[in-house]
Amino acid sequence: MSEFYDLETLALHAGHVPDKKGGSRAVPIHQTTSYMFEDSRHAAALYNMEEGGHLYTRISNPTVAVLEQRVAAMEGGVAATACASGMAALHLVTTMLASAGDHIVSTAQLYGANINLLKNTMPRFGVETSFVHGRDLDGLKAAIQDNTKFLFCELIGNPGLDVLDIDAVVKIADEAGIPVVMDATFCTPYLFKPFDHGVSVITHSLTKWMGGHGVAIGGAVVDGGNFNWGASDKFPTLTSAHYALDGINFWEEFGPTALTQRIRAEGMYNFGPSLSPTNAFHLLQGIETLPMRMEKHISNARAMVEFLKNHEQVSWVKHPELEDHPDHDVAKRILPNGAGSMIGFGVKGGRQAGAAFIESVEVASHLANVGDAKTLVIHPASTTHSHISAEDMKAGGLSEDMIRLSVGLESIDDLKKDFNQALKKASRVAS
Amino acid sequence: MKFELNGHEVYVSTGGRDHQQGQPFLVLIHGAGASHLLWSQQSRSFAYTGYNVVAVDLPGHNLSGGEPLTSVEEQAAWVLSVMDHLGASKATIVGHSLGGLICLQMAHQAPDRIEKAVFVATAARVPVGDPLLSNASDQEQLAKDMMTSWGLGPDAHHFDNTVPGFSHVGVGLRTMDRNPEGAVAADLNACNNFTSGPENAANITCPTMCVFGGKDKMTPLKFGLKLAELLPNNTLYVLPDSGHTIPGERPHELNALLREFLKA
Ligand SMILES: Cc1ncc(COP(=O)(O)O)c(C=O)c1O
Repeated sequence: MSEFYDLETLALHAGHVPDKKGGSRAVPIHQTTSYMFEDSRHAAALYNMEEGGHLYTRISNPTVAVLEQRVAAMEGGVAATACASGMAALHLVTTMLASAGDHIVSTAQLYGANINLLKNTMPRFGVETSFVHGRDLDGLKAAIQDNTKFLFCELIGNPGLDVLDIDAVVKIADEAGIPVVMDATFCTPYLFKPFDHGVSVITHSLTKWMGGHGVAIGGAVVDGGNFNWGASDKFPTLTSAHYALDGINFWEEFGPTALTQRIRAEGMYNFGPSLSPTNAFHLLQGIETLPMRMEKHISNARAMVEFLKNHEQVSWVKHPELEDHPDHDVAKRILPNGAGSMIGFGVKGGRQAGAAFIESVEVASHLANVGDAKTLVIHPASTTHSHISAEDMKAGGLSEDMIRLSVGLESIDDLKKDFNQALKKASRVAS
Repeated sequence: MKFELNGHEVYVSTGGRDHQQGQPFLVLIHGAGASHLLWSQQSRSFAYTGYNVVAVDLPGHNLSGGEPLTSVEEQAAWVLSVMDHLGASKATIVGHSLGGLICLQMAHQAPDRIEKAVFVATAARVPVGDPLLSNASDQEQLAKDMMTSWGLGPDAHHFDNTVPGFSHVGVGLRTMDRNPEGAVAADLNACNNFTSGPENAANITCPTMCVFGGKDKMTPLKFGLKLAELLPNNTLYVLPDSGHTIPGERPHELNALLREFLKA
């Protein structure tokens, strides 16, 4: 019978076999910019992409490669490219697949900077994006044009926590002959395996749950290798002659890994959004415990949902596992291991009370990140989404009184006590 | 490179370089369920160092059209016709797994056209048992999973890779998915039904080289060693830690051995 390792094992082992010279069991940090060539033939071979190997750390690095191979393994992809941040990952995919005159369709329920890149930055380079609500399947379908290169989405929208019916969305993209690119930061492979549902490319902010410790920024593009780039002439960056490498045709030469090879040969080469080896090491340390952490993130999140739902100072609670969440049924179907550890809620008394709550927490931390091992809170309207217009915020499922909570791994009793005292202080402001 | 042969489109990878008059030909033949993509770290390497590389997609595989051929005899005749088309009167042929059987048959059918032959992770007989053989026809995905699982050594299952960020498991599975349905079953039946390997091997006069993996679960080393014994003019190398997919798992070692052998 076929035997592949399970996620828990891959999280600890994938990508690294201790080398025979040093025998280091931990992944060594290769803190170097460059690599010795064996001879001039070896150097030429690396420049020509004849064989694998490391040339210069802007393009690849042995420690970073372990991280890439681990993430590729955990997602079930053909390859992964690590990069400086989650935003760098989306930028790499966008620029490798789309050129001036091209178009992208995206769900509207996205992290603020993802929206900004597609809505405000890419148009300056001739790439337009149509945003459609993730529940509006007909609208998504209608938005696809002849020049649309991919459909972008987040499974669990940040910070509105809308859950996308990904199977329906993949079907729409399939029919149009375009790939689905998913930012899987909020689900991680513990909660959801996008490639098993027909997604073709994953972007990750490894900064969040994957790394988990809040010590390193990083991102990755994971290539599913399941999209037929050669079925149409829509993807000339992959199916026609490259400007270098003797006019290599990435699709003919490399098939399922064409996109990754182009990212390496052009994206990492010309933009240089490389991840530092030391950050790769920190992210690897975090990933080792991802499955255990996610289990606790989910159980703590479920307990906090119950607690908040029954708290008299809380006006509303949003989580996909609650029956009144509009995507409850979808979440139940596609996220059986848990619908994430993000919770939205409103503090009675509006803006002032919300601010008082945020300033009164003692265990939870008030900061911009999500997915840390520590519990985090923020008021999106005045911070992460302050650059987004009120209209777009509403489209993204956001309200002005919303507190975004990223549930961490602390004792659930301590978390509840902390929230109780902070909500009490908020009630004094409110009254 | 794409061209038409017997009314079907044929794709062969030249390793990204055009063929040059006077350069020796190097023909790379993939194994069951695979395609030229298996050789991506050999085809470019030899194309950039003076060889006319011909890494074929067998009919009904990856970018080559037509129906998959169902016997090693037909496959061997087809590769020879590709050589005809490309003006390769002679070539060094390299076969992986089923490709090795095809090499044995080519050397039998057209001994004067084979300069040298290289057998990678293969044997003189490659019987395919159930459940793999029956799954290949009834449950193709399961057959692909089994082949990918058995086709990789322990390091590859730990996602070690010489190409930064690549997954042997993922590349193996998705490479097989590039082939139309039915290719795996045709290939495995061709392997199973080919019985003249031992006789062909004993009669090969050109220099040959065998490169086998010590941790090969698809074509276990002991069967490979029998082939090596049969070949009259052979050099044997065993890569102790490699699994079956030597071209991907141990590209540097394989390429160095090939380069030496081609020069000798
Ligand atoms: C869903 C999502 N995608 C992408 C990003 C960007 O990640 P990074 O900060 O690593 O660039 C974030 C960060 O908050 C995020 O929440």
